[in-house]
Amino acid sequence: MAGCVPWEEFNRCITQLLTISDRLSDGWTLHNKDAPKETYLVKKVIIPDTENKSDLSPFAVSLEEPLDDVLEDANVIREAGGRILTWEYHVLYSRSYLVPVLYFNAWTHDGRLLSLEDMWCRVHANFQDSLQENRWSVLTQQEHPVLRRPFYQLHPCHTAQLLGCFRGKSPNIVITWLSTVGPVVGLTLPPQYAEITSVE
Amino acid sequence: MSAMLQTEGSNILQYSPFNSSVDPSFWHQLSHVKLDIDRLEESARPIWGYYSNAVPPGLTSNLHVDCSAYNEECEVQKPLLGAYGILLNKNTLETFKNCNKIALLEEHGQELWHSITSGEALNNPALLSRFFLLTYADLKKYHFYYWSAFPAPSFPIITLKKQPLRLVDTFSEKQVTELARVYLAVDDWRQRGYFLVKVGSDGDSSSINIVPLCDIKKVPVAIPDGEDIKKTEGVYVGVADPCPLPDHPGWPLRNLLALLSYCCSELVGLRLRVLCLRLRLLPCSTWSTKDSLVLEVTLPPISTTEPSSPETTFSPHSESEALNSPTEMPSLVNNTSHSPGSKVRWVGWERNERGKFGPRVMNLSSSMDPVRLAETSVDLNLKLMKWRLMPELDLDLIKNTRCLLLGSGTLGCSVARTLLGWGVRYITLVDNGCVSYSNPVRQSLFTYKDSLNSGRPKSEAAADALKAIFPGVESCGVQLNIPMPGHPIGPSLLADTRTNTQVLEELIGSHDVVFLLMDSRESRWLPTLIAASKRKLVMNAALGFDTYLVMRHGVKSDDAVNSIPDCSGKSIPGHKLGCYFCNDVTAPGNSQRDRTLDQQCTVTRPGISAVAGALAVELMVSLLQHPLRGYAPASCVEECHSEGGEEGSPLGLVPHSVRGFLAKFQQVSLASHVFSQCIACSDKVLYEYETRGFDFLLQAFNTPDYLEDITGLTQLHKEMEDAQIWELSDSESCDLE
Ligand SMILES: [Zn+2]
Repeated sequence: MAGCVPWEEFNRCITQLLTISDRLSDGWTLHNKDAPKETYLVKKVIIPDTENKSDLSPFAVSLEEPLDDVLEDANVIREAGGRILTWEYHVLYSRSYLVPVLYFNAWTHDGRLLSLEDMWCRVHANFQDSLQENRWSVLTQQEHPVLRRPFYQLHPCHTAQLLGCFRGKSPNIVITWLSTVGPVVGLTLPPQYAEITSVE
Repeated sequence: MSAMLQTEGSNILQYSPFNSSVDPSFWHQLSHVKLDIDRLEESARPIWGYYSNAVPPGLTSNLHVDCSAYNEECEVQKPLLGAYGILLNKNTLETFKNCNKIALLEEHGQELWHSITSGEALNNPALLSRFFLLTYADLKKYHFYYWSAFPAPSFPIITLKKQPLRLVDTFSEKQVTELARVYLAVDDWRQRGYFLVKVGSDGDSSSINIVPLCDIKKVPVAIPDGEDIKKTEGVYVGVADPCPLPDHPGWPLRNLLALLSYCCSELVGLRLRVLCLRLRLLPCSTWSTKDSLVLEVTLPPISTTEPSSPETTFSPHSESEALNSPTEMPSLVNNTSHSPGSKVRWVGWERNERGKFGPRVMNLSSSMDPVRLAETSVDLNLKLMKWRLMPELDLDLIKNTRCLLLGSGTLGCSVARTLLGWGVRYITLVDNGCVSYSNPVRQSLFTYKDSLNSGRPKSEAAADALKAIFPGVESCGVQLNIPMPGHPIGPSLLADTRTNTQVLEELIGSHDVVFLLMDSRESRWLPTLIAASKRKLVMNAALGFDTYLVMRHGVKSDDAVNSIPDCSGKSIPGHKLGCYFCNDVTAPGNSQRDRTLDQQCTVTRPGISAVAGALAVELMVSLLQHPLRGYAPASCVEECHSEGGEEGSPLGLVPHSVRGFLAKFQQVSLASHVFSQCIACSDKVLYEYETRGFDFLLQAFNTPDYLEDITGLTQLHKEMEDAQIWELSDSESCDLE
């Protein structure tokens, strides 16, 4: 299919993406370098978590220690600890579909992974309508092929079709694809990626 | 200004502490390290943490650890900064709990103090960013306990004479961007946390330079007398500040000022410009430093910075703790005498979510426990069916339905596996036989090994096999002889029969659906009766050589459910549907006594049990999804396809019985009325059972024609000779001796 991306091209594209990311300090890193054909890109994004509250388990409370006097400290400001939500985005190469695949996960400060329903609620409102019809075929949970842990995935079955539209118009098809599908799940690429790729 | 500053009346510089943020991947890696490398070793292991000074408002300063913590080299990407950590993983919760936290803090404070006093921290200022992580990993439950500390000395206490300034108030627009550019051009992360900033006097933005901290003695850092802090030019003491609060710097500045007051005594008493550098990504995706803070700091004389001697000894608290765990007492006592560090009081233990000193717990069973992962996947698979095809499907109802399988042979195995497929979690299997050599090829839960040494009890072997297939199932096996009518009970068997009956009654009572999957008609009688009395849903499957019958029994109604219309010949409401025995005109006598060997030993085509077992489960599931459940009407007209609409089951029809004929590859659905003289479900029989209990049953077991007599069948029987009777059996354990 026109939209298929050979591994070599994928590799060239992510190398370029990394170079741009380094220049912008945008935080993409290359993982699994020891297995050259299974390397993937990772970016972590931390945002405030206003929804998920966690109560400390009674057992954890029983482990508290009366150290207030010994550790008394006038030089510390005690603010209400803002909770965080960590999103992690992985760009992998799918050998079955010959296209890039976006895997992602999000977890709360206490390590709880967001559920698929949570995920769907967080899919950007702009995209909910257009994806409603086959929402679960687009957004699914899968075992991460390298980490072997549950991750969410934008299913690659339609990716080749999408990429087919960009063929010939994009100097870096992975960047073009990622800036198209990423926003659905809160991942945005700064415009510099597009500018830099079109210059080169 | 915070409330505390105002109430105390003096502007003491207060730092915002780090929050530890431990990534699940850290625990994945820790489990691996623990199981494969460290095992029972409890020694401290160096790890890497990282933090960021590009923290948007709304967040707090977080110090992160993830799987990269175990790398040999710190590989942080800009704009992240590394931190030197120590992992102390305890083998037991007891040692985690009992180790002396104050002594630990002192011990690691000493390490930091050594970096400061040796001057090492001037050359590698990243040594000021330190933490340690005390952990206990419960690898059975996948619960991880952790408590972090960010050691810092309790001095110097800085009094601010002026409010902190925002950098954008003193720097030009161009300068805040230029500072970000030159700062991010520093490639070594060790020099990006603590540094000097030289701002040119000509106001030209291009003359901003980042200078390593070790040059502090070569450049004029102090603000000349009389000069205003707002004057932009000069040298700033820079720190990458992870805190987004408008009035307070984050934790790193604390150790930097401790370093300066120890190593640069010439600066004491002088005014310094401190630049708490905070990065902000502008909407145009360029970095700015506009939210940075500028503080005017005067380092107090060293004599007031170190606490006086009474505080240098251990508090009574730490001593009593130390008694519990003498090994935890580090070599502090030995180097107290001359090292100034010993006089320093250390702070930095993190508070938990409640603001108390105590550990946090992370429960990762859902992402690490393989059993939980299997359960999630199984459920997810079914949810996809619901999400994609049938939103009205109630999967929890199916999952929580308790299924009792009477018979663990070919049908039992087939039913159990299909139940697993539907996500059913509670399955109890009953049988009285053991696995024979011929069984495993047809009974899909057994293997050859189960048939060795006279064979494992079938119910037990089947329950174990279900767990081996899917550990999330709560399966249980019960070996039980089901008493049968017309099989006289001798005195020696009386007690056993009474117990068995009671066990069966309890089993039926504690389940929602009873599957009758035995290989003889007689053994179906007692459970049919008990289940009818207890208003349980009964799914029945029986096999002939190349025929099968799958049916649901009608469910008796307590209150006149007669409000449900009997659709005049088109369908029969669930409470008027018959049971397995309703179509019979003869009681199940001792067929094994009356029949020839040939008849006793029914053989079946091997594929038929899989078909019938699967149908029985599918019929149950369709029925459970019907709003009326067991009372759902069954269509009597084969061609009726209108059912399954709005008021039906989303899965379609819920027939009363399905009969299949493999020779013709044909299948028909039929419905038939309850029979008022039925020997298993008629009011008369139920009344006798419910009032006389075991005495009645005993009479039915012992007296061949008793059931026919009380139901009036004997009378009827005389009138109908040679009734055609379906004889179906699940048996294939054919002993053709
Ligand atoms: Zn009946």
